[in-house]
Amino acid sequence: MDETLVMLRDTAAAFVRARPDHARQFRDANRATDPQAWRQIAEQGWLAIMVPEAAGGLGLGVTPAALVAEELGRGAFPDPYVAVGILAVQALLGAEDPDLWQDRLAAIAQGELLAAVAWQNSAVGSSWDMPGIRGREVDGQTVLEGESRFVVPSAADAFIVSVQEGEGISLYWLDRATAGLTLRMELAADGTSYAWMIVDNVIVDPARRIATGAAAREALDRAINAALVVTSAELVGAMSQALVMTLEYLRTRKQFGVAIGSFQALQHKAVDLWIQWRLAEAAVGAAARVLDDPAASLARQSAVASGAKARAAQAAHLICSQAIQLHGAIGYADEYGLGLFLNRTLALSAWLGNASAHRRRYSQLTRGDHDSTEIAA
Amino acid sequence: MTVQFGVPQERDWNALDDDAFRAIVRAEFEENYPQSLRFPPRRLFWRENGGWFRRMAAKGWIAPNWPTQYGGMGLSPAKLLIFLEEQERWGIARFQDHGIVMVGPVLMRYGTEEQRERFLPRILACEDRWCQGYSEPNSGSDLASLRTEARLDGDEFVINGQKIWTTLSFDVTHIFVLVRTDADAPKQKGISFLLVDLASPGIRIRPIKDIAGHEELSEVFFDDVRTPAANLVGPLNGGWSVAKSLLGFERIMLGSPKMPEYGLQVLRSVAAAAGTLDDPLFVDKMAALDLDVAHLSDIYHHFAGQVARGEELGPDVSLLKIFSTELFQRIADLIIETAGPAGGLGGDVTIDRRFINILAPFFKARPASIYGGSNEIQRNILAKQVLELPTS
Repeated sequence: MDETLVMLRDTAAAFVRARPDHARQFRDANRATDPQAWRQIAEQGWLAIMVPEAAGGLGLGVTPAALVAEELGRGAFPDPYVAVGILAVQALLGAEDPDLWQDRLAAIAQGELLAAVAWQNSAVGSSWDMPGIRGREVDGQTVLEGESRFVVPSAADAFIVSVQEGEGISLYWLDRATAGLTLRMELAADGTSYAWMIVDNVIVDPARRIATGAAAREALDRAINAALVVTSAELVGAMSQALVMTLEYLRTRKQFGVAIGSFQALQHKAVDLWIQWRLAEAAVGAAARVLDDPAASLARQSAVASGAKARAAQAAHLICSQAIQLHGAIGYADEYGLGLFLNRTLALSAWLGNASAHRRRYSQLTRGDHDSTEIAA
Repeated sequence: MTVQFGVPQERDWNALDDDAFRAIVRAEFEENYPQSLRFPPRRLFWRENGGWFRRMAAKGWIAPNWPTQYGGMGLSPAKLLIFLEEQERWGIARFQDHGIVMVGPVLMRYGTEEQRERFLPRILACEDRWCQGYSEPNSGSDLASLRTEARLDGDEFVINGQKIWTTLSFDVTHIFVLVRTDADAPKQKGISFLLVDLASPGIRIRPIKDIAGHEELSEVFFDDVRTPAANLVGPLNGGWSVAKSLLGFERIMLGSPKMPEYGLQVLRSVAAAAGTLDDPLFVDKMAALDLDVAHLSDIYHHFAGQVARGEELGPDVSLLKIFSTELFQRIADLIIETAGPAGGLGGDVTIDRRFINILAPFFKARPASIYGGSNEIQRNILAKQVLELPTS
């Protein structure tokens, strides 16, 4: 790892360590955002990591963003770092005319503008990733109608909305105050909230169209891929902290006169959890490198991004659930703190598609890779 | 007179860039390795694959891991990984190559120049082929409790006892053994490393048929077997350290993703024949295994990178062996499940006009989690050395 990355990681780690109560306070305050924490995150420059230098950003890649997210995950920070700093930023970067959106990108990077991407429909079944909002032409004007769900952060000032238009999709910029836009709040397991967006006959100014057709599809795919990998890194951070707490507990908790970590049944269970964390960490690191490789095809980037999310979601779920079991009753007590990590991973694992959904996407994307590999066994 | 070790190398392989080297190795294998010997369902005997390895010997490629000074290819760790990866990719079955993999490196590190001159040229020529005598009936995971004893008598050791699970002992010429040379010392401190000619009087070999029906394993009995004192490698009673030093590079190879990748290929063929490639239940299971292999490969390359940079591997590398072998077993299980009624058929099976050995991966996968330190032992090591959990 080069020095810049080590410095970035160490700064993020120190930032998180200095705020040990942030996750609990965020949850207990029952607010959609923590403006003070968000300002501090922006001051660190982390929201500018993916923003090009021309728009006042750092113009770095997925790998550094993933390092920051991993540290935030280690503190179970509920702030919408990925939703805003990665997903929304990356979607705007795919605009057909990037110059038109530079001011907004700069405002996002400085933490002054909270933007969210609304791209999922309201289904929870297999068709969840189709746009739930349709656009049609009425008297020369574009009119939007439909629903989008699981929109993060719910407190966004503006939304980048994926709209079905004819055979393809378009991306539109809608301000929160747009007439015809209604937002319902849904509470997530970690104390954050998602917006359920209902769009009722919204007439949209053509200047608010970010991209359409193939360009919109590619912009959205790239945004989702980056958000998947960086979210997976956040999950890696959360699972690693749950594992650290568990190992420390196994070393110190005594029953029958000895440390329970001396029991082989528990040792082997702990080793299996540790292996899953190492695999997830390696998978996310490798996926980030593929996303940062300009020579890699979009299909390959999508496949490894889905693979990373499937791995991280599955490993985080396993590790955090088993962490509770290995602790015994104290793990189930809110005051102990393991629950913050379990709840954060429950929310992140489901967000942007869970492990099973991403195994399906991975399978579809890699189908053609195997045509020539059959052997006479 | 100076001894000639093997044949000279055509060129300095390490001066090539990785891709160029890989291309040369790949071309050599693809053009010359007999198609009928690729991915064999069992270990091959010398009469079957000896021709290929004699060719490798004549070319100077028999010992990729040895320095050129001793007749090897002199490959850097990075180039050696490429060589081994290409061998595995093309399904080139190893012969009983403990002479190359273990005896050579041990003699270079612990042997005398006399021992190197006596043994290395014959290993390079494939005239001597070696097997390993470690396990005993009562010393498996607890290897250091071994009881086969060697007593010094003049300028010879006299060996009595029994080794077991010795691979292909009846197909090779020599065996290296761990023997007890001091019964009173603490168990690791009374062990020595000896080289023995299998043609010595007093050696008896009994093949052991395995549950797949193959005879690759054996028992080797020693009844007053005499071996020269000059065949002691390393110090007397210092054999445990000699044996442990062999665990370095092999530990990463035991966890390579190649066996699970081979399993996936068989699984795809069986699924295609069984018509389940589009079944949603199968698709999810297959994708999960595909990702397990892809991510194993990611972490394997993390460790391979350490090796390539010349860094010492830590005890955490044990995770590769555990995950890789158990993944191979899960793939083998899904192959059987997918084959349905054909999952009970042994040997090459005809399904949908393809010949597939459905049970071969299953049987190959069984011993993988046992040999080289069982997976349970690997978990103990990780728990103590990496996770720093307390001992009871």
